[in-house]
Amino acid sequence: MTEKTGRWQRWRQGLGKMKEEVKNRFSQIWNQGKVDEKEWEELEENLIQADLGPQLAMELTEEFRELKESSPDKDWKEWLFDKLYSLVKDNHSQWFSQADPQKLKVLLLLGINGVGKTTVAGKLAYAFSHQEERVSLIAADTFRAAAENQLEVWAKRVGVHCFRGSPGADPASVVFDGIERAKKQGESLVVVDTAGRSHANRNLLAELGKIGRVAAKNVPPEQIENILVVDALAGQNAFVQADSLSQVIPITGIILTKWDSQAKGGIIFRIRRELGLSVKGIGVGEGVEDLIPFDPEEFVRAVLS
Amino acid sequence: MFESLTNKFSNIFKKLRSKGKLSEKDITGVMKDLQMVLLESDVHYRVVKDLINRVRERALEQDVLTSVTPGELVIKILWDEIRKTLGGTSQELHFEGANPALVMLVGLQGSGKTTTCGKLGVNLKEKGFFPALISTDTRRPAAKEQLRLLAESADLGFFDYPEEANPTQVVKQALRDAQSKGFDVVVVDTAGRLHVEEELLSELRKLTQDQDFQEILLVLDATTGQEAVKVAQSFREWIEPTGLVLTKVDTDARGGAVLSIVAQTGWPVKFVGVGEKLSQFEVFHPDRMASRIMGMGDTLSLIEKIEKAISEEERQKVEEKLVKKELDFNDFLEELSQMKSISSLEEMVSMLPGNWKNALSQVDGEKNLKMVEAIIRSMTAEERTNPYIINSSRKKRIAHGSGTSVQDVNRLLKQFEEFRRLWKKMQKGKNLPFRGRNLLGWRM
Repeated sequence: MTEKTGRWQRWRQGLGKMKEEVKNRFSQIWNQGKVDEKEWEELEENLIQADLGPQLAMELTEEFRELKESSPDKDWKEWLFDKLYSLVKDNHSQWFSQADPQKLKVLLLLGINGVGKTTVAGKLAYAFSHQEERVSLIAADTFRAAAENQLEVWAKRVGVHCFRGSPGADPASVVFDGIERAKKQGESLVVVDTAGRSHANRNLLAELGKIGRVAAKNVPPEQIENILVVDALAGQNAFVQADSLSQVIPITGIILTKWDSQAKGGIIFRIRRELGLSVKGIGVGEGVEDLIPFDPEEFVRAVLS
Repeated sequence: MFESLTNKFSNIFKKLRSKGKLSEKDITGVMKDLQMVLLESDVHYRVVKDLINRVRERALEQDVLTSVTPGELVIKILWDEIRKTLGGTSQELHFEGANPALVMLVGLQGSGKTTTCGKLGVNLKEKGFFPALISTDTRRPAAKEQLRLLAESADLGFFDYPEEANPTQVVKQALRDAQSKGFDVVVVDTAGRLHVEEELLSELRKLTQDQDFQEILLVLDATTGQEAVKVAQSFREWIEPTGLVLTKVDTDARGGAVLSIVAQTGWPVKFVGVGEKLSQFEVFHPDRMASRIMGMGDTLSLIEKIEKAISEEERQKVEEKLVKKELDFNDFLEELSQMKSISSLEEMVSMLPGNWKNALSQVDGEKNLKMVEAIIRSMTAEERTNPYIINSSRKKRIAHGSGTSVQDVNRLLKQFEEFRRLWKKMQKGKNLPFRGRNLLGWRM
């Protein structure tokens, strides 16, 4: 339990940095009689720095400005909470909400290279196997050298089976065989690690589409989660990634990794607003337990507390 | 979204171009637009501010207001400033005569260090060095195994000391082994670490204090956002990198992060990784990167690629034809088969500026390329030289012969028209892609 609190602590500390700077700026501007252009710009900069992205930062600044000018006796803190909460409140953090627990579920991880898919696969296998699921891992990254070995190490650590195809095999066929095997073994969940792929590469996108179709053919849609893994340090391009990938596979949620890198939290508001996808979990370290579920209310409260 | 950004940028240019003369207020408005585009390209907001201020100053100095082509001038100034910030010229590795030379790769998790290690090995080997790769990464499962496989596949040296956990000892042993076995460069792959993990950073510092590294390269993911600056700052506090390697440039990320870091540290960018294959590794060209960050397409890189693929003789043939008469399908076919020998057509199309990209967008994908070839090969010689005679019954025949549909044939004809139009336009401006050296996206 202390371990868990420790992780939340780290997470909150990261958020704290954003909170202080931005909040001070908001409060200073609110209480000031006259605010010049430069100060408004500084607020916008603070918000960009908090990873909200230029668009949302500009919008928030403008709305705040309007609020100050039109209704100066309103509680700006309440306004900000409502505003931020409205961005995340529809986030569905639960996994497989419509799934039949008696049948096999498939959790597919996708994303560009180096975001941490393999590590997330290991952590998920751990988390789910502690929730009474009978889990196995499928190593469908047949491209990156030793990727399967890396996953196998995780599988051993977690104590689950790792299904591998032959090196260089068609990843879709590995997924097919892995699912077949899991069904025969009476397992309830497979976590599929796929190769990192640039969303600008059409061939790799097509390959991903095929993997998705193979999964969809063998289990009903409500038994499938296709999760985009995003590096919390990623910039604007993360949003382009999601756009292109969803052309070939229906993305059902997002996991943000490397949160302990002092990500500022703003990216979550952008993901909700620009992509409308749900954040399922957040990776906060290299340990097997370092994946925490995302709770929208908790999150906004932490941001503004 | 990327497309819309590029268009947004073109719109700013258009706004400037159509203005003729600008007022100071126009300039302010445009600067605000430029600022937004650079921010969307992940350039750090402070760097953006500096940059925009410099551009504004220079723009006013150079009498943009009264210039006949204010748009071009502002764009040119911005491009120039970005290029200058990025370092002006490409930079080589410096080994200062050390034998074996020691190169270390550092960076965050997932930035691409191990792959870069393999690529750098291949690059050095091509230059006549005998590189050996080692890894001090004992944290990520199978990291060493990954490096070993890469080394094997490219026939590079690889040392591993499974018993040895101390990085300094690993490097020392590798140097000894390299010397006795005749390797002259040792490339050290390290474990990924976050810029907030002080313990791990101090471990790196220890290693650089114990050993003399000729090059310490920070590997940076081109998709990194605003935090890139903090990453560089923090690595700089612990070790002093000698340069950068920018990876994942084959994504469509604009790579503004690299501008932020270079602006702040002055570190030269030595290489860029442009794909998953070990050969997809290039020297960094500041002018190209500047175009990319501005969303103008990597025109210069493209030209270089085309130049490589087309032999001198064929080039002349095409140029002569252009002078004599219009391009026909025979040339188009030739062009396409040349393109196939370029490593990846998609990679190439992605480097083109907007209007070219549109013209070629139908040709992308190897499958499409085959289809186009099939269609052209189903044309008669006369149809190939004079596409205007292709009527609907001919179209039907061609579609039948090539196993495609009439729509496919129509699409190709339309696309060919566009191709020819652009070709002519370039010829007029004496800006043939094969000749042109001053071919910035905005010129077209």
